[in-house]
Amino acid sequence: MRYVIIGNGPAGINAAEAIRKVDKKNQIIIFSDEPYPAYSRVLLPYFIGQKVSKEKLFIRGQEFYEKNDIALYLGTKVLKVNSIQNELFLSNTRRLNYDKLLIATGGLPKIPFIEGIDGNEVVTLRKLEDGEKILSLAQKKKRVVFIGGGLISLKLAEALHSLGLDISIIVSSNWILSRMLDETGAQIVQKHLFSQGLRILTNQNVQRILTEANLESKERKISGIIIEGGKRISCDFVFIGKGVLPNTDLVQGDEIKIEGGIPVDEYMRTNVNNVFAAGDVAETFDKVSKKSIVSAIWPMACEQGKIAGYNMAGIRKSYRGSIRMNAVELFGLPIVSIGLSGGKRYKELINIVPEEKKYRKIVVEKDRVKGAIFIGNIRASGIIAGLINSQKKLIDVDRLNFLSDHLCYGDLIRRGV
Amino acid sequence: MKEILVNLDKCLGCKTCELRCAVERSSKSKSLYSAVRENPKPLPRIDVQSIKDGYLPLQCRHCEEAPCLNACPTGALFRKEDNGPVIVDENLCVGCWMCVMTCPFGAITPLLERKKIIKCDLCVNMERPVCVDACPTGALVYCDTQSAKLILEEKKGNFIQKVFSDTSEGIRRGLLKFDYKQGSSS
Ligand SMILES: Cc1cc2nc3c(=O)[nH]c(=O)nc-3n(C[C@H](O)[C@H](O)[C@H](O)COP(=O)(O)OP(=O)(O)OC[C@H]3O[C@@H](n4cnc5c(N)ncnc54)[C@H](O)[C@@H]3O)c2cc1C
Ligand code: SF4
Ligand code: SF4
Repeated sequence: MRYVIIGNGPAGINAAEAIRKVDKKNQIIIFSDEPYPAYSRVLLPYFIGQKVSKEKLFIRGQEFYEKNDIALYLGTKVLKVNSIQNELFLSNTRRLNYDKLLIATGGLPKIPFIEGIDGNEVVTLRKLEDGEKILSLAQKKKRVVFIGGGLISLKLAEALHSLGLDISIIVSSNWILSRMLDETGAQIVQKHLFSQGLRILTNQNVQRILTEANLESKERKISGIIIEGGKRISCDFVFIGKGVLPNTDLVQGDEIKIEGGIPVDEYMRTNVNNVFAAGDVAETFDKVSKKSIVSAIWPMACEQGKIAGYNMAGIRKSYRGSIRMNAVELFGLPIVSIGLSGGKRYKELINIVPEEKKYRKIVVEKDRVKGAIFIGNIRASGIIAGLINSQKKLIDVDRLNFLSDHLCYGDLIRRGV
Repeated sequence: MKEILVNLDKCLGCKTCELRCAVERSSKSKSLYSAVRENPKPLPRIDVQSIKDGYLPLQCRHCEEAPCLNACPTGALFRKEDNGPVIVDENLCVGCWMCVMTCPFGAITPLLERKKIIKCDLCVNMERPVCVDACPTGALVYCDTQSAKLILEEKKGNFIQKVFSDTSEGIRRGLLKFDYKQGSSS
């Protein structure tokens, strides 16, 4: 019996660990197409901003694989899965059979179609390799344009700003962090970023990336971008932060079903019995919106990986669904967003103190909490996440001290939750 | 694995545990006299909160399937042994606040200025938890899982316990063990 895990990210690692907990005997193999041992992608902006050294990126050392008797193949890409033959095609031209397979291949940056986007100085950030490339560009160049204003863009913008670069962010939506925040929240963050010297243009699309001949090399170099309406912004390189797509290349054309990502059931199993998926590549059920989503955050990748691992090893555990959430700190301002960020159908409890850059919003539907935004004071935000997660019925939501600066667990008990 | 049981019936809300925890575990001077004048102020890792008809001394419950452990993307939160206390390696913490967002008890405190978190570590590096020894009423009981079971079976008082929960329910399931309403207050 052989377990094969494709992907050495948090989903893959947690799965391997779970399998080994309950199955001490059978072989576990992990493939990664990257040359490094497991590292944290989340830390890449910190690495680029030189807040975290390269060594600290790595989250599992050799001893982890030895202790758990896991065979790790780095720099080996799985090109194709054939789930009928239970067979994998590897980049080193070999083939390998499996009994149980986990696809934990994560995501790939979305690349919009824009003229000039295939140039060498157009970068994305998913891998350590990308991080090193950005760092080296940052050391040579002065001005950067960001296409997209999501979490990764802004976290990277903060890092590059700390290295002294001039930053312009072009966002096609009405406001930054549009997947995390409502307009009011985003305004507070946007003002905060302006005051740090970032340039942000919302409601704008980049039409073209401009290049010019380069004396030093044959390759043309970037000179700027043109936005709709013809306005030009000069820059030396461009970052694309338009979100991620599930990395499903290796199952294209196979029996394994692909929709937004690879859909899985509560046991993290795909439509093929002995094939599982977890993490940024998997499509799971969202407890709040009741829709199928690709959650693409670290905590869910770990949890899904664990559940997948147990089920692969024959221990039935079910995953009770994801919730959309994320936390980020930008130039000292902490932000947490959980579940829905608002909507006409919902009741919204709001506390806002713009001069202190504080904002809190709790989104309620009848007697259940569906979402929350915390800006400035994020203390105990997990209590609300817990309520959203459990979809617990509440009595008299208005009387719960959800908007209090000192939100605490005792309050819930006091009100009989 | 040892844990701290809290007997809610015995807690008077005097906050002695908070004080001792702050002084012994967070202050530089380790003496109350100088600790009060330290900047930053030493913070406690236990918080005495008022509940319906009494007080809840709440610190990290060191949940069996701890959501914060899944959430920490740097390896800063970890356990030394299976089921051991959840502890933080300050050198690895970058202040991303993922753990703060996922702790359903609100038991992880973000230190915004330092970009680190602070939480109860069950005093792993001390002989015994400071708060337990400090509590003048015996509301905090430090014991192993076996004795905890016996104490709970006796049903003398309202106890809260280390939280056991499965991954997906997270701590929510564990709350059932949070026997606030159930126990008899004899
Ligand atoms: C810059 C950045 C910042 C982020 N910040 C946050 C944050 O603050 N909070 C948060 O929750 N999340 C954040 N994320 C997202 C988080 O990193 C992901 O959710 C998480 O890494 C997903 O884990 P995973 O195991 O599914 O996939 P990944 O971590 O992407 O791992 C995929 C693995 O599969 C391997 N692989 C892929 N294809 C193949 C193949 N064909 N053959 C062999 N191996 C293959 C890769 O080499 C890799 O080892 C951030 C991501 C980035 C890039
Ligand atoms: S704030 Fe620190 S301990 Fe908490 S999840 Fe982030 S790195 Fe880990
Ligand atoms: S066990 Fe130690 S760290 Fe935890 S609350 Fe008590 S004194 Fe503080």
